[in-house]
Amino acid sequence: MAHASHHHDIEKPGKLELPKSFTTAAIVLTVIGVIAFAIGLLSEELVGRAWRAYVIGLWFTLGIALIGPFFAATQYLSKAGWSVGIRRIPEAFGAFIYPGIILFVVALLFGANTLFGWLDPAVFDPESAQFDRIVAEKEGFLNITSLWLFTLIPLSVAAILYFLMRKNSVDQDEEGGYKPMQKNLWISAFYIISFAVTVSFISWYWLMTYDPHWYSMMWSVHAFAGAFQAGLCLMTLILIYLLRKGLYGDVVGTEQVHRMGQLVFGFTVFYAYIHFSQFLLLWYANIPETAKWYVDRMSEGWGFFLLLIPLLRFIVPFVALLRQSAKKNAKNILVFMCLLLIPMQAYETWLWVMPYWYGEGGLHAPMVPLLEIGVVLGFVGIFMLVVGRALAAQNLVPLKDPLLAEAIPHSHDHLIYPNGKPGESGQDDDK
Amino acid sequence: MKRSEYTGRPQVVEGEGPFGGPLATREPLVADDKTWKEVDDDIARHTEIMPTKMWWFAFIPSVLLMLVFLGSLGVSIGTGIGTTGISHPVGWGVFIVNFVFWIGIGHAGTLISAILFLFKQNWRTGINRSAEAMTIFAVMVAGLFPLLHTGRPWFAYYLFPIPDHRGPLWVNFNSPLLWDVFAVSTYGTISLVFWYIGLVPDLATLRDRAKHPLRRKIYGMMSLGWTGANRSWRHYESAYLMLAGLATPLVLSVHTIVSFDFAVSVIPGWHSTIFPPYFVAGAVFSGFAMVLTLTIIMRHVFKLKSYITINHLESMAKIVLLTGAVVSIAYITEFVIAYYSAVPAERFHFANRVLGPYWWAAGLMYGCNMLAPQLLWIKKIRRNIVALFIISIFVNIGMWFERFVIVTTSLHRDFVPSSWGMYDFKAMDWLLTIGSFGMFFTLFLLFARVLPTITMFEVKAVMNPTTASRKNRKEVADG
Repeated sequence: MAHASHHHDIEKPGKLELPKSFTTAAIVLTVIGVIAFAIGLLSEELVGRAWRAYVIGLWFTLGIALIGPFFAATQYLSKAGWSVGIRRIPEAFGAFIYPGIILFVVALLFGANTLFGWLDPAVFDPESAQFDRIVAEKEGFLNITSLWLFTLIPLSVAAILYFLMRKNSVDQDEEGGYKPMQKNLWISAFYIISFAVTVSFISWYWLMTYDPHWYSMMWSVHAFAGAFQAGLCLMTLILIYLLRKGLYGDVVGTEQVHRMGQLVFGFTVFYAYIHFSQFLLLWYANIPETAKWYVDRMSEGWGFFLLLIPLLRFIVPFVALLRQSAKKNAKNILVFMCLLLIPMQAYETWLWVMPYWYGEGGLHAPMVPLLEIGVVLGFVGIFMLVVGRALAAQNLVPLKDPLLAEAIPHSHDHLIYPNGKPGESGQDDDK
Repeated sequence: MKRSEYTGRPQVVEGEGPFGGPLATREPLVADDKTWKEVDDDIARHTEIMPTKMWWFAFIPSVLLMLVFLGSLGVSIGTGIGTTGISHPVGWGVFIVNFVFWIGIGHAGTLISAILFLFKQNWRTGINRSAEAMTIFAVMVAGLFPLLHTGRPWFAYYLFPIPDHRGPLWVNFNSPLLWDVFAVSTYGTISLVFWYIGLVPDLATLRDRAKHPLRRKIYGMMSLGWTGANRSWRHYESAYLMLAGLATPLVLSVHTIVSFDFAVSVIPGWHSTIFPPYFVAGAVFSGFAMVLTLTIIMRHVFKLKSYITINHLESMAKIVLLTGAVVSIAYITEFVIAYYSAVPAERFHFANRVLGPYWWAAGLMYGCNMLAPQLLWIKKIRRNIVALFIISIFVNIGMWFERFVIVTTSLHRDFVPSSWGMYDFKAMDWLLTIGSFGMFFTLFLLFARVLPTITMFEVKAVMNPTTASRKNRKEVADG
């Protein structure tokens, strides 16, 4: 078996070649998204919904993209050994931050006035009939300049730090040595700070201000918890896919799947903890301004959709993943849970963004989200294209990372390869 | 490896890695090339010798302080809690501040033993035993405060939902204060069970080493007939893993529920939805600072520097830095959202917190919790024991003042300016606060006398067996 002490017999990991069908599917999804969005923009009735769908898709994908380097940064900072082999997956997520910035600029340039009723100067004008005293009090926060600055500056800083982190990690494959790891340690620390600031401002501006009267101090944590859950799930899915393709050689095994399963389970509980705490505190204090968010989502037909959140984002995955074997993907349970939890992030964002229309009649009843699904699929398509290419561009494993030896498993578990390991000839001479 | 050679970085050999890259080897967790036998000798020794001068030097003042504490508790029962500064408008004063502070201190122990265990952080083995003991004593001290704060502690059994002569008078399940009773007692119980289970194999070691029959009898009873058989270990390890899984949500729940005491209300400064994770992070922050303070003293007094190495201290310093950053972000979020809320009372509260009469307390809170830990970015400071000790004290002070600020400044200027006032810190407040440290240290020092302060069997498991077992050593020496 492959021990760290004698490496000559370790099967080298392969390189990912994106299947043609993957690229085709991604392009088709992108085209669907563009068409759906165009239809929305051309129709006077749908233009508001189209832009909100744009925000849903953008947060869904960009949130996960930001989580990738965040996860890698936590692993650098804790000098974790087990995750070195799978680090390229979260690293690849970050590639979507760059198009994310462009997509935000597009939204700022063309969509902001449609999205944010509070950008209407009449709201701040005491003479006007639309004057809103509460919103006018928040002018220091709710104005177009702050919106631009606080959206783009933290995100750009995060992008620069991600660029450096990725560059060091890739350079390490050639150079080797301890230096790139040491540099990435520092970059990781700063990335985490920029990540916290970025998520805070994006969640406040782009996900909280549709009802500009409502506020919750937990909001940014809530946004983080949801995105982190989904991000971990996507990493797990890709990991299992690559393992089944046999691309990891002997370098990654069940241990990594088990630990990712543990993290998915753990952060499912964390998500529930954060969301329930926020709900309980708002419900219990019952202050009209702050309880409103949940009151809105329990009326006009939204209640059912709100109830699905604890059921599908916590109870089902919690029960399903409780067993140790489930965390190792026995009977594909982990895969199914990831397939459930990733779309739930888009679903919950829909529930955040859609119900309330400031200045346009307030609370709306739920509508069949065909347009929204189309636009979100478009974002998924772009995400697939960018992240897939980033993953295929480099070695699947950072081959010269000093801690890689610790990541190499000492035994293979058959849960990962239910039908036998691909490319394995009958005899295993290591036995 | 000698402990003076530790660098805090893995040793890297070029070209030895799996694919021709460098190969990093971590520095051993136990320094000075100890053998397994030496581990037993070094750690069990303080329970087997008469107390040293250093120990008495720490113990006597601690007991005196504890007497001060017990005396002042007596006054607060005999005369009443009006002897403290608690009055209108600040009805929650010294008792609640100290309660939250000590519960927070009690967080690091179970975090180390349960969460770091689940995360497979082997460096926890050097510090988990003492941190867990600290947890239990901190929870014991903490529990006294709300009990005394009720004013009539002899009616404390009213807090339990038991059918009795009180007729329709029943506990208020809607009240977070009652949730606290359950949360803290559950946490205390699980921490105690978890700690004791972890002690059993080591107690058996003490039993087997004991020379005096009485000593053997006592440790024999405490070790529950542990034989070290394969089956015992199997059961033990699955029980420990289960308890770790159970303890992890409890660590979070207890301070979450303490935060609910404040956050379910409608008081500005208390009604913050971010309170649950922010309190938990703050508790881990203060708990680790206290572990740092205690282990720095302990490794010196009991000569445990080979087991609690500078690398252990550096890891703890990193956790202090991280949780300090989480707490800082929560502080900033509070200010941003208070502004954003546009609720006048909310905005006033946060302005009053930093600009009002208690600006100095807020200054201590933000200075000690946000600024002081930033020094830990520098590796030299993380590996400087004097600097670490001072920073850990700063964090302890800062976290005490965080609770003081949250409790006092939120209450002292409420919605009606005519009812504004100040919290009058009286002698009793000082005695209770300082005295509680006496009780904590007394219990901790007693623990360090009679029980092994480091988990011997877990430390042995993270040592390199080829060099740590004496037999092999001899063979190597003989060629």
